[in-house]
Amino acid sequence: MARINTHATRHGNKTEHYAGGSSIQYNVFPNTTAADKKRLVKVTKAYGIINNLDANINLQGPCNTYFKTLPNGRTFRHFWRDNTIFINFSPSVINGFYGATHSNDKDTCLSAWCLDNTNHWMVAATIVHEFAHIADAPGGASHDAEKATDMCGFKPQYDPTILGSIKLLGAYLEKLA
Amino acid sequence: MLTLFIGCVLFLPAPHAEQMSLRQSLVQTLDIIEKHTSAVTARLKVVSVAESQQYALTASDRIAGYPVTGEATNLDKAKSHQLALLLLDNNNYINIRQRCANQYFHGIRFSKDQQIIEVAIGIPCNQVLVVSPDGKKTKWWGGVFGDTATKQALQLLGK
Repeated sequence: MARINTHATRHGNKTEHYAGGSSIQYNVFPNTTAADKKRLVKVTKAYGIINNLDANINLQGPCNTYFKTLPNGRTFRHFWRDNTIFINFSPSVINGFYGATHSNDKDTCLSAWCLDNTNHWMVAATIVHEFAHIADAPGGASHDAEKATDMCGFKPQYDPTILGSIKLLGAYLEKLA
Repeated sequence: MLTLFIGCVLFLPAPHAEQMSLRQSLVQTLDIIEKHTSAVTARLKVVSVAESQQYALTASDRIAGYPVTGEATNLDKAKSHQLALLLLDNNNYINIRQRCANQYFHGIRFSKDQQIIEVAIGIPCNQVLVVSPDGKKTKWWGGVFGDTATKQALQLLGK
C-alpha cells in the first residue's frame, strides 16, 4: 500500500523548486505538538477510508475504470497498492491549497491548511485527486484530477469550482459508511 | 550490452506530456492578444467550471465565463501590452500539479477588431485560464503562473 510519511518510514523530507521562486515541501508528518498529532490522526483516518475503498470497489467499477482512462492507463488499485508512493506533509497554510504531487510521481503532499480546516473525508478526496496526478492527469486547466474524486465516490467532497472538474458522477461513499 | 541498453530505454518512465504553450494554442487568434487595441480588467466571482464554460465569450458581464463583481476598468495601453507579453511567455508558467480552490479571479478582456480573448487569473492558485474564439466554439487553455509572474501580473493590474 501507499504509505504515510512518518519518522518510522525513514523517507525523509524533500522540496520541489519551480522557476520563479515557487516551491512545495514534501515532508515527514511531524508528531510533536498537539496540532501535529491531530493532523496525523486525520490523515490516518483518511488513509483508512481509502483502504476500505480499495478493498470494496470492483476492479471494473467507476473508480478503477476512470483511472485506466488517464494517460498512465492503470487502475486506482495499481497505484494505491504501490508501497513506493508516499503521502507527505506540506506546511503550507495558503487558504484553498489542499495538496500537490511531486514530478517524481512517487510523492504527494497534504497541506497544513487542508488538514487543519477540512475533515478526514476531504483529506481522503484530496489524496485521490493527487493519485490521479500520479496516474498522469495533467495540471493547469485540465479537468481530469478533480473528476477522479467524483468517480471514486467522494461526491460531497468534489468541488465543481476547482479547475478541472465538470462531471457530477459517483456514489455517496460518506452516506454509505 | 545493446540488449541491456534497449531494455533500459524501454522501461524508463514516460515523461509527462508537455502542454502546448499559449502562443502555440492560439495560432490564428494570437493577434487579438498580441496586437490588442483595448483591454478591460475586473475582479471575478468563482462559479463552477461548467457554468464558466457555458457563458464564456457570450456575456459582457462576465470574463472567461466568470461573473464580474464591481466595476470593470480600462487598462493603460503600456500595461496591457506588458501583461500580454507576460501571458504569452512560456517561461512564466510552472508545471505544478495541485488541488487548489481559487477564492476569486482577476479577469482581463483583450479586444481587437470586434474580436476578444478573455483571461482569468485565479487567486491564490495562480491558475491562468485563457478562452479564445474557435469558429463558433471556444478554445480553452490553462496554465499555472510562477510566483514572480503572478506578482508582476498583479502589479500591472494595479493590485
